[in-house]
Amino acid sequence: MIHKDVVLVALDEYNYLGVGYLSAVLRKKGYRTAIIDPERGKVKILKYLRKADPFLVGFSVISYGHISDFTGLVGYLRNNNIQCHFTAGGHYSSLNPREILEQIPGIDSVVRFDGEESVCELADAISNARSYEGIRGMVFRRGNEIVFNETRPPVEDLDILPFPHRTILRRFYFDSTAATILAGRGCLNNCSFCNTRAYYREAGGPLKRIRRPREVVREIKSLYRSRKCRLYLFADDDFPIFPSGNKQWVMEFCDGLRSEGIDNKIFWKICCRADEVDENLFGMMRENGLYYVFLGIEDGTEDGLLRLNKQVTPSRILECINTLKKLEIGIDYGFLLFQPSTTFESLVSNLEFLKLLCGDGYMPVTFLKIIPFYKTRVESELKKEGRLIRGTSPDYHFLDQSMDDYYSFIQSVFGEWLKDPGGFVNLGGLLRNHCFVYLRRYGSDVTWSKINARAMEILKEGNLYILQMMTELQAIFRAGLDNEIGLGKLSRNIQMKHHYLVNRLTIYYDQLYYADLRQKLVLDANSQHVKAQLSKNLPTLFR
Amino acid sequence: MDQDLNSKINALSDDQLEALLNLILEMNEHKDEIVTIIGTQMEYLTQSLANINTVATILALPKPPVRRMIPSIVRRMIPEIADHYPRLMNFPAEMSNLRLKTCDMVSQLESEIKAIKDIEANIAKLLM
Repeated sequence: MIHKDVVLVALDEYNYLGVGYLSAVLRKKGYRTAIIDPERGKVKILKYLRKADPFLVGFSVISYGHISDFTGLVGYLRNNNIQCHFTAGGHYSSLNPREILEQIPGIDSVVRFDGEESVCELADAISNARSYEGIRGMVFRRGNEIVFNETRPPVEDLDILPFPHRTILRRFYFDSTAATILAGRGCLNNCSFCNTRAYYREAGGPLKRIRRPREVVREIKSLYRSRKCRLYLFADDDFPIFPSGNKQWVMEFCDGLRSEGIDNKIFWKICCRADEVDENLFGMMRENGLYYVFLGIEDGTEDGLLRLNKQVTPSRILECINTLKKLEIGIDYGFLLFQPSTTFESLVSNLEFLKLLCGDGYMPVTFLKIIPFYKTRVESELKKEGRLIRGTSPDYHFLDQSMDDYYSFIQSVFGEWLKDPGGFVNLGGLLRNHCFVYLRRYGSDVTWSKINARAMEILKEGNLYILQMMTELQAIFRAGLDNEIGLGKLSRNIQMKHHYLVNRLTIYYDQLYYADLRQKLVLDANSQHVKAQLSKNLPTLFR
Repeated sequence: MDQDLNSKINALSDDQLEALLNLILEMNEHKDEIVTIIGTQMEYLTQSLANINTVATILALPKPPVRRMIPSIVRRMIPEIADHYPRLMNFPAEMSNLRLKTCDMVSQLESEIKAIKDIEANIAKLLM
């Protein structure tokens, strides 16, 4: 019997970081907890809950899109006689608890915003057969009524929280593991497509809280020592580069890594704004392990950036990209090529901008359509214009039907290229990411230089191809000629080109893997590991 | 797992292990040459023969992952292309360039496959 008091059901998108904090505070209070992934399937979850027999199950409903999945799961568990208290939490549940309780009848309550204190009080109340109706931050059912309790202010000092409970760390760089980590919570920016600001404003707390740099270093050191984890992926929307208008936080963080002697042993990735990239500062961060940066670029035109309220210009973005390239720091980015106001003119300008960013093959061309998330400015504008569609995921039509046709066509012919886990964008991004880890870990050598150059050459070829195709196709759709020109064969040609590029990327991914094994043999003298890996992989080379 | 192969790998010295890794890295470069040759020629052929699907079908690249498919897929393709020679040779005179390109491609592929076979032989020697 594996009895647990509380079981938290959450998707492993961020290494269970959010529920990891909840689990840690519950464990500190003596509760036995477990975290499970809904991807395991309802039958296995039911079996597990029957064995664990918890008195509380928490479901992490982060986005609107998760509601239908959790509705099915919760209904199945209730129908199979799991009778304990079911609560929901997470980003979307916090912003719209009424919808959660209305849509998922099996859920008893919602814990809103920072859930650490509320979930402990809920566990105390249930385990002691007390009422939970007075707990701040809770929304619950009373008969047919939905009762909103007073909102609980967010935890003021994040460093009073224990380090998050971590289950199995995700494999990231070949045989190495990676951990997601937070330097703070919240964001000071107010982008029109994001609801983080609305979330913290409604929570009644500061828009952004930051941990002490020494505590973040202490958490990294602890993971490095106990789990041999070398890679850290900061999950902050905006890493605290200039939190108080100066770079003190970053300086202290890097000093901390150095004084603990782990600056050369670990590698970290951050998300930040383009206007925060400063050559001297990022050079120093690179020296202390920064190897990859995710930038929320989103648009390459003055008008578009203004509409998204990004508070940055295209020229500043390009300057930032050039700085990161000069410093040999890897780049990943978000780009919202398709927006409610996208026209063929703005599309062409953005395709040209993407060529400036990615024309050298430094990273793959990637882009998305804006999802009108709940309580964002984009959502409220679409609602006002009567354009909001509430399906399994909120959506909208473009201003011009031919743009809808163009978007659908691009999604169908480049779907595998853009979204498949083994497709050009994901595999290309992974190869580049691994190239930068290798570079930080072992430095540049002849093999790395060759692999890196080839990877960029393949990405350049693919990037120029997709941009050219999209530019030519937009002219066809714009002129309304898509039905007159036979586009049927194009799909097969694109598929062949895609397979060709992905095959080449796969070969260089393999090359990097064997180059890494050679380094482990020569530098780390870890021949046992190399032999084990070769025993596993060598037979596949000759099939 | 192949126990025999496993014990042979375990018996290797560090120098032999490094040599083995170098051979694998070299072999992978030839694999890339093969994919590149096919990819480049395929594009030319499909463009030249927009209405003739046969060649495109024969030359269609394997789906990833390629690791397990090359060189076996190429070994299989070569005779198929050779079988197709008579049809290629019957193409009109203005397509002579295509014939040349196809022959050139086959010869390049054969040379790359020979290089891979040599490396395989060296790997086999190491693992004897």
